[in-house]
Amino acid sequence: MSFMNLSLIRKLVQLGMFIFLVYGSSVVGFYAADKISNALPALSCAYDNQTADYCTLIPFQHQMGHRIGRAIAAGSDLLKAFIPFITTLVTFLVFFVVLNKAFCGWICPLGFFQEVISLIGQKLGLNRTESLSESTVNKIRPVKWIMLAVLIFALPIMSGIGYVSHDLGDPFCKICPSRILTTLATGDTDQLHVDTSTPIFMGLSIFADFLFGLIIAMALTIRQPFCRICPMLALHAVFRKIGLVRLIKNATPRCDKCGLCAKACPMDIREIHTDMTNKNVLYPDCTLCGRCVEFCPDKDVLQLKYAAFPIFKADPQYFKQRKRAQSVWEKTNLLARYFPKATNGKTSS
Amino acid sequence: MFKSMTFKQFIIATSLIALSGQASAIMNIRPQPMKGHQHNRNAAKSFILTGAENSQVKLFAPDLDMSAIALNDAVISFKPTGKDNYHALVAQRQYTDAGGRINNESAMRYVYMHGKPTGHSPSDLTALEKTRLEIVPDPLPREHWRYKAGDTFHFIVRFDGKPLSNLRVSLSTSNGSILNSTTNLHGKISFKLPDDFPDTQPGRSQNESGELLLHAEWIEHNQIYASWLSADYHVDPSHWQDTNLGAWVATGGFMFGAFVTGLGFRNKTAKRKNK
Repeated sequence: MSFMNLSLIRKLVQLGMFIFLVYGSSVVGFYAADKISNALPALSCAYDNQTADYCTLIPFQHQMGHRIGRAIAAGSDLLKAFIPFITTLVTFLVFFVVLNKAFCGWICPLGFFQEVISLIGQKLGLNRTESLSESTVNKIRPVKWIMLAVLIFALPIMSGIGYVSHDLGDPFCKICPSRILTTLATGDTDQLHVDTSTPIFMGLSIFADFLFGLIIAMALTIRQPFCRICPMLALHAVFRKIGLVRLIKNATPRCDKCGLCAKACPMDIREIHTDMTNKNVLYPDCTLCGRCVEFCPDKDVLQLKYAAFPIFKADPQYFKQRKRAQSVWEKTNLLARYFPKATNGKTSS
Repeated sequence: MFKSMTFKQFIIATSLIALSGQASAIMNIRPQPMKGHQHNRNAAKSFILTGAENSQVKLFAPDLDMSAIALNDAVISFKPTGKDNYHALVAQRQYTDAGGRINNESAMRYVYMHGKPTGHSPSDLTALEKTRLEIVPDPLPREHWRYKAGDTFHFIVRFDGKPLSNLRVSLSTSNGSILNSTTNLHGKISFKLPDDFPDTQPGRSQNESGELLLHAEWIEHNQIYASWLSADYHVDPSHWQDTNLGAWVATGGFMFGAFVTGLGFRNKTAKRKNK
C-alpha cells in the first residue's frame, strides 16, 4: 500500500506554508515593505509580528474606509481614491490566477489549523459529523457573502464617510480568528483580549474571542467550520473562473449512483455529485483540496487541471489504495486503542 | 500623529537627563505642538530642535536620498517628500568646549510619511550610516506600529558603522522616567518602556503620546561624540484590553461549541433517532 497520497502531500504543503507565513519575517524581512505582496489571497495576519505576508482583506478594508469612504464624504476625486484599491486587487489577482482557490485548501494558515484540530478530534476518537445536512449547508452558504459585503466593504466605507463609528473601520480584522491564531502561534497573547475602551470594540473583541473558541470546538467534529463563512472564500468565488487551476468533471451515468466525491468534500458541495452537465465543477465553496478527485472511483471522471494540463486525475487503482489508507487511518484513535467497547469492538490497528 | 509632549513634561525630561550626569547639553528633535489633530498627510511637518546652535539638518528619504533642511529659529519645517515610509531626520553640530575638546553632537528622529512606495525597506534606512555615533532602532516599529509602554524594544549603538559594546545608554521619557543600561558584545541594548503615563483613559485615541529620548556618548581620538534618538511612545493598551477575560470568553466559545456539536455524541443520538 502506497503511503504517499494527495492528501498527505497537501498536508505537508500546508504545514510548510503555515510555518512560512506565520514565522517567515526572518526570511523575507520585518517591515511591511519587505513582505511578499501585502495582498495575499489567504488569511495571513498583519498583527502577527513575524508574518511573511499580509492578507488582502486588510488593505481592502483600509482602502474602503480611508480612501473611498473619505473621498465620498469630502466629494473629492473618487477615481483617484480607487487607485490603491485597484492596485491591491491587481496584486491579489496576479497571485490568484496562479493558484486559484487552492489558496484556501493549500496555503491558508487558518484552514490548516482547522484541519489539524479536526485531526485531533479524529485521533481522540470523537464521532465526527462527516457531512452537514443539505438544508444546513444551504443556510450557511450566504453567510460568506454577507461577511464580504458587510465587513470588508460596507462598514469600512460607511466608517470612512462618517455614517458609523471609526471603530468599524476594519471590522473583519477585529473578529478574524486568524488574528488570534497566528499571534498566539508566535507566543503573543495580546490579541486574545476583551477591549473595554468603547462599546463597539468590546462587542467585536468578545465576539472574536468567542468565535475563536467556538471554531476550535466545532473543528473537532465538523470539517472546516470557519472556511464555510469566510469572506476570503467569497472573494475567491468571484474570480474563480480566471484561475488556472480548475476542477473538471467528465460525468458518466455511474456518477448518479455513486456520490463518494460529495461525501469526501470537506465543504459539503453536493453539486460535484449531482451536476451532470457542467464540465467545470469549481463551485464557490470549493477550496481545491482535491479530495473529491482522490475518492472518485472512475477513471478520469474528476480531474484537477492546470490550464489545459491534467495534474491529478481520478483513478480506480489510486481510489482503492486511498480508501484502504483512509480506513486504516480512521480506525487508529485513542478511543479505539484504550476503550474498544466504546467503539463497538473496532480495534486500533 | 506626532502629538507633542507639553512644555512642562519636556523641561522635566531634559532636566532629569542633565541631572543624571549623562550630558552637559541636550540635543533633541521633537514635534512642534499643533492645535487639534492633523489629518492632512500633505501638510508640512514641523519639529523643534533643542540645542540647535550651528546645527546642520538633513532628511534621509526611504530611498536613501538626502536633502538639507533649513533651520529657522530652532524650528525644522519641511514638506512631505511624497515617498512612503520612514524618513530619518538628522541634526548635527560640532563645537569646541571650554576645555578645548571637540564635541560632535547629533540628534535623530525617524519620521513616517505617506506617499508612493519606493521599493526600499526601512532596514535600508537604518543600516545607512547617517552619523558617526548613532543609536539605531533594531528594528523600528513596523509601519503603522508604535513604541508603547510595557513592551521591550531593542537598539544598536554604532560608531563608524561598527557596534559599540559595553557602552552606557540612557533612556528618559517625558513622563519623568529614566532608565540606564549597557550595550552587549554586539552593541545591542534593550529597554522595557516604562508604563509611566500619569492619567490613562480607555482607548488609544484618548491618550496623548509621550516622548522618549535615548542618549549615548563615546570618546574617540580625544573628541567627544554624543548622540540622541527621539521618538514618541504610547500608553500600554493592556489598561483597557484584558487578555485574561479574553481567554475566558474563548473558553466560553469552546464550551458553547462543544455543547452545540455534542463533541461527537450527536451522531449517536441522530442514529438512534433514525432507527
